[in-house]
Amino acid sequence: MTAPDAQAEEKRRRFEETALPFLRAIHGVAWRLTHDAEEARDLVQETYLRAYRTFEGFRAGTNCKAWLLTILYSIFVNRYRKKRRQPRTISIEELERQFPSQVESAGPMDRLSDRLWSDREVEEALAALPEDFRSAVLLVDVGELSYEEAAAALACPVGTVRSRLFRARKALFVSLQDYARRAGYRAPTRTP
Amino acid sequence: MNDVRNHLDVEIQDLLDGRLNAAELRRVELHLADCERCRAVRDALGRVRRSVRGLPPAAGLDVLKREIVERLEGEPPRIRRLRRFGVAALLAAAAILAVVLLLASRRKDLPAAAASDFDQYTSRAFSLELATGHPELLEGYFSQRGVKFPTRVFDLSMMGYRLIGGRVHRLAGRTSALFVYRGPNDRTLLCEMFEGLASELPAGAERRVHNGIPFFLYRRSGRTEVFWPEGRILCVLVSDMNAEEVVQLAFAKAVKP
Repeated sequence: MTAPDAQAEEKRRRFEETALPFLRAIHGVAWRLTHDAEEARDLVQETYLRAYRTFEGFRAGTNCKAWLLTILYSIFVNRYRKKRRQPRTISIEELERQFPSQVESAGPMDRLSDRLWSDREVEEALAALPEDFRSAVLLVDVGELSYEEAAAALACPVGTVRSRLFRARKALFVSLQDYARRAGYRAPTRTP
Repeated sequence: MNDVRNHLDVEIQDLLDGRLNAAELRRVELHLADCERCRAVRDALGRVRRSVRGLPPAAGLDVLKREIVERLEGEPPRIRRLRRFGVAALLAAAAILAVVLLLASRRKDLPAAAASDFDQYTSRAFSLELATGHPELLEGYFSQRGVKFPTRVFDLSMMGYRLIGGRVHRLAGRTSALFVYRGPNDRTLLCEMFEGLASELPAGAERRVHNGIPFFLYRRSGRTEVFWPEGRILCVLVSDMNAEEVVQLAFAKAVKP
């Protein structure tokens, strides 16, 4: 093996060790951004290839997952967002308005149990969020980035991430309670 | 639920996400101990948070991982492979080739270098030195930083492109004034100006002429690059947006020297 071959091999080995452990999180975000299995695969592959080509610019010891998600979001915004079929999104303001009454009407068991919402319902409620809000939830809750890392990926202030996340979670709660109600769930009668 | 005190708001989320300091945490916990309404909000938001975080991974990750590894193995190494010459022969060949490579690199590297700059910027491999939306401030910055040629930072706001900022950069071994715009749907548009001639551009460009100005269009790997000369300066716009949009922006902003 020649010296350049050995160097390339070493770079690839270091990259795979550093970046591939985050594939699950990266794909989880990609899939929920695109809502298309093929586009998500392409987006993830493109993210890893671009990261590999600029791996020299990655500082060891910093958050590799945040770096990968920043690249992924940048590619998504520049390449996939425009051609993607826009899913129907909900009015976040309307759902926020319903949040206080929905919380009040939910019984204690309802609030503490996670069994009333299926994964499919959570996915559907996420998909219906406007993209800016969904991106904040995906980066923080699926990608498990800090607010600061998510803000860097989204190129917006930290306060914006915090606000979008708060509003998105309230909207998700209302949407998911609606699903549960339509499925026949009734909140337990509250004791005085 | 008829509590009329000042309820907590986004602090409840800060609690769930572990973003409160000790004093804030104590204050929030004291409030929660006495406020049923805020406890209900905490439980509701906490349940949403757990539900999203607990979503299962999509199927097929093993296949995807294998595909990524295969594509990485297909990536050419950046360092050129050396032939098995002896050291003396290698040095002699290097000396002869040095001048040729120097000249050739100036011809063939410009589109590849500009595309690489775009990729590196969008993957945050480098950052902008001055964040500003004011073209005149950026032009002043380039001048202060010793850029020896006049720069012309475009105002593209009428076309929906907001100037983000810029940096003094190196493009294929020469000083470049690099600046970036954010367009509709958060699309990135990168512009560089540097000393050079259109004759240095490699073959393979689609050539167009608009208002008497020649434009050289390269489309590679989903990116569009449009070069044009302004006297001794070469300008280039790079983006992965629709190619014609990039071309029209170049047409709109190019001037005859």
